[in-house]
Amino acid sequence: MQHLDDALIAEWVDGAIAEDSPRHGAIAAHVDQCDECRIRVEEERALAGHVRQLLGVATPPDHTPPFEEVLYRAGSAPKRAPVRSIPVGWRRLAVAATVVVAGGVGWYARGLVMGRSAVPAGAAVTADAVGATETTGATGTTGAAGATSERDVPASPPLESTAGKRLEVATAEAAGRGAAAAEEQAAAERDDVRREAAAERQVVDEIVAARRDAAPPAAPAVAAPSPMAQAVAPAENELRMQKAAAEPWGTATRLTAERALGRSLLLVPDLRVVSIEMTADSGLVRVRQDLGGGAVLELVQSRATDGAALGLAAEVIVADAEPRARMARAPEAVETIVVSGIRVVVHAPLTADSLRVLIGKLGT
Amino acid sequence: MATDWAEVYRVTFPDLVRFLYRKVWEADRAEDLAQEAFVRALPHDPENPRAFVFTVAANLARDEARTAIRRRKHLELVKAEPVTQTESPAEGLERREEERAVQAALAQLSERDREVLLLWDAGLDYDEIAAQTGLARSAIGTTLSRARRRLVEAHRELGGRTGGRADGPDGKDGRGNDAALG
Repeated sequence: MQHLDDALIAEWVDGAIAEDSPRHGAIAAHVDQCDECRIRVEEERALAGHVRQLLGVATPPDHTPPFEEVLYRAGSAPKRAPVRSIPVGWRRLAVAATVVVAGGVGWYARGLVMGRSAVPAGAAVTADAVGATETTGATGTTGAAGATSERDVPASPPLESTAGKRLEVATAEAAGRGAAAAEEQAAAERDDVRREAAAERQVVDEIVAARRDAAPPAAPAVAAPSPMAQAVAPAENELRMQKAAAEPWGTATRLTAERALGRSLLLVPDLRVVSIEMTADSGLVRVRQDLGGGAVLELVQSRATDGAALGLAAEVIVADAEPRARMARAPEAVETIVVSGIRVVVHAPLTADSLRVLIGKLGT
Repeated sequence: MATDWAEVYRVTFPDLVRFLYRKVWEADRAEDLAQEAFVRALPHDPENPRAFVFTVAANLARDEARTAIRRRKHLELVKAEPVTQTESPAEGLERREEERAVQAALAQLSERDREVLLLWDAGLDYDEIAAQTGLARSAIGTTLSRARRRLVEAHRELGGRTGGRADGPDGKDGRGNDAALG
């Protein structure tokens, strides 16, 4: 038998020659007898091992998500709502998101931003209480409303002012167009803005009402969604959140989550991401970020729909680790930011300065 | 008999992610593409499901490359800490350097050699590699042997350290150094 060529040696080393084939026996016999071919076989085998070792360096973490994720993706490709003929820039602005920061944000602002003097005493966070948060409903809330039941919570003038600004934007854009069609468009946009403002006001009013009506907390861990969670979820979003409360959360990759949301995740870039989870049916995404000290920031986000009057697209819940009686009694504040075209209204029991610093950290 | 995609997924997913990772060099993206490949494969009942899903994945990765620049900008925006961290900063740095060296070495190969090599490392057999790449089955051995040799040479030239024995006694390559592996 002639010496083995490179192709045959590679096939031999890679086990690509069937053991029950005549070639296998012939090659085995030749390699036994031919020193030159045997050396080449050993070299090729060593080379293959070395390459495996090299490529082994470039290997991602071993993680196989459940097959159900594939089924979920197969059955729920993102559906886009009909796009109305609204200018892109304005449409992006109109995709509004409301972010509610419930409880514990004072601690967050103190620890990360403002320094101890900015936060009332007694706002330390305990790991046990965070664990309790982990076991609550799908929204992960712990009923911050209880802590604020005695607060003098103001109404929502900041929302009115932001709506006013948006009206100004809409009007300015309409003026630029000049044409009758554009004027008609602007009128529709103004209606949208008014509806959004009304809906936002409703959100805040419901939050305020829930906080005023909420009974003092009996236990830190609450199985059902808190009054806060219910209050911030009006109309369709409420239904979605309630539905999600009964669904299991499954681990998801960032990209899977972003695909489901149709946009980038809303998160605080400075904080380590602890987990990203999704519900199978409701398409909600929950991101948990480590605040340090055993506290976790949860961001429950849903898909924002183009042209929606109010996309209640995000809810931020700080793990409420503090017994209600010791919660900081900061006044309510509302601030608005635009993150990647999504208007985010942050509502929190903070001073305006603290809240501004917090939302300054929110991003995608 | 209908394909048991759940079982195919279970045994193939890690290999598929590894294959894709060496194309896109982002773990999340590789995982995402692998899942997408299964999503697209689900309606089918191919003769060789494993090879089929690799074909779909390879096509997805090709499309991915076309939009990589745009996405890279996006990922810079959303970049955050990894979900889990089990290595020290020093270990992480060393691992990333090694990975970059391997990535650069792979980039030195021709597209065909690289594809064959990655499919081989993902566990596909010669017939599957031939079907996937369109090469003759008889050409796979030659191509693989050449690709392996070139990868080691390129890695050595780029100063890679993995294995620590890329320089053989003849100073040419690492062949023969790991003879004990055989």
